[in-house]
Amino acid sequence: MPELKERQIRLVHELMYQIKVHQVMNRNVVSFPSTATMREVQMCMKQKKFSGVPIVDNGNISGIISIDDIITAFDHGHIDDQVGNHMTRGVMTIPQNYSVITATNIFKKYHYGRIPVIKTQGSQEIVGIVTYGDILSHLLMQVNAIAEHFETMETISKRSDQAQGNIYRFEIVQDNFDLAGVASTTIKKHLQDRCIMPEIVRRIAIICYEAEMNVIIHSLGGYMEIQIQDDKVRIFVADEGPGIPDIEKAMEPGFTTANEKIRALGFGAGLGLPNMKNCADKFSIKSSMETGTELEAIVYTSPQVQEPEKKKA
Amino acid sequence: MKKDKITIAEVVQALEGELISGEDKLERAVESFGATDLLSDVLAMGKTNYALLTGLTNVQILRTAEITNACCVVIVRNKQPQPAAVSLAKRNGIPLILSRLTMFDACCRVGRLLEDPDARAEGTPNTPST
Repeated sequence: MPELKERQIRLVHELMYQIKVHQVMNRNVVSFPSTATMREVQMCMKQKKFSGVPIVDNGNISGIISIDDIITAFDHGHIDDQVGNHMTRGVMTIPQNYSVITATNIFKKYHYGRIPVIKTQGSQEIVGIVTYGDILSHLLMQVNAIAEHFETMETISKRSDQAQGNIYRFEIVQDNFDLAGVASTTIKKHLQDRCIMPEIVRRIAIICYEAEMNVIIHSLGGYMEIQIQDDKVRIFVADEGPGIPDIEKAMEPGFTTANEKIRALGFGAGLGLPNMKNCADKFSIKSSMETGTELEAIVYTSPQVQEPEKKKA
Repeated sequence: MKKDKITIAEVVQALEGELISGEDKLERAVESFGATDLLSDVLAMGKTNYALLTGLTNVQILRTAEITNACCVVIVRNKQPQPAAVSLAKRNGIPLILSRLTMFDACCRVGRLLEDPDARAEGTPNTPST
């Protein structure tokens, strides 16, 4: 998909601005005073596998020693000299809240291998050190995660494009929290395109979203089918089990079987089913421990139609 | 005196926030506010055109905002949103605001914004106070 590639490229660019230096920097920084010897610095670099060490005197950054400086010191036989005589002075620093794009520009312009990261603009307090490699590996990780996310999204929306006429069907996968809500937001757009009243669209979208969440959290997987008719929208959701042992209890606000992981996401408060019922004009649910749960909700879309079974919250 | 119209720009300012998406919607009105880490609650509270203040950073805060017609989302306590949340906010043009304030302090600021027209006028000299 060319469009997908384009989006990914744009994303890399956006990410470069969004990712801040403090997210990628190495916080494990050791600094030396300029009275330390080159050998002391070299020992530390070897031991901790650092490629550069900032030199700090009385709380001020006075220079930096890189692996190149150490090699030169061995070469020219001044490895026991003080670092103050051989360090690179006038070190460029970067505040931790800057985006990595600024760091990248400094690397490109000055050919530095690393930049000490300071707490805030104008401060001399070093909180980390950042290399080109740090930025690159963080960026690659993020791009990879997002690319995977989009690929799955494409599959889902392709599926929904195949919808016949006014029926939209969405497969819902167990535990796939990243995509929770994609079907509902897609349906919401379709309904908005049909000029259905915003308040009604909102109620339908909430029912779909709660249903999606329920299938993802509690079931082994299932599907949701949305049928748009002249005067109403019918939402039908079916899952493959394991079924709800006591529906009456499940309908009580606050009753939940959700685990900590789900609660950490902001869901699983036991409000889903009652909320769906409140949003729907007609609502029915049946569940079997053998075949799973089926749920049907109907929302009337034309204002002329009376809402016969609309229940108050 | 209760204010009848607060804009997203004023919310950004009051919360010392950083706006990272939806720049074109700054002058839109915020009709009400909701503050919670429980998205189930958001779905059940029945508000629209509201500002959602939350400590969550996942992509679901944006989906929930979209489903319920929220007008902006504020992430409090200096937390960084997940990249997928940022890209969804940008794609759908939902204003996403990052605030360094705690949830409690953010709510107090919003409370002041709602109650005190003078503080608001002082804080936002460029915004016409209608």
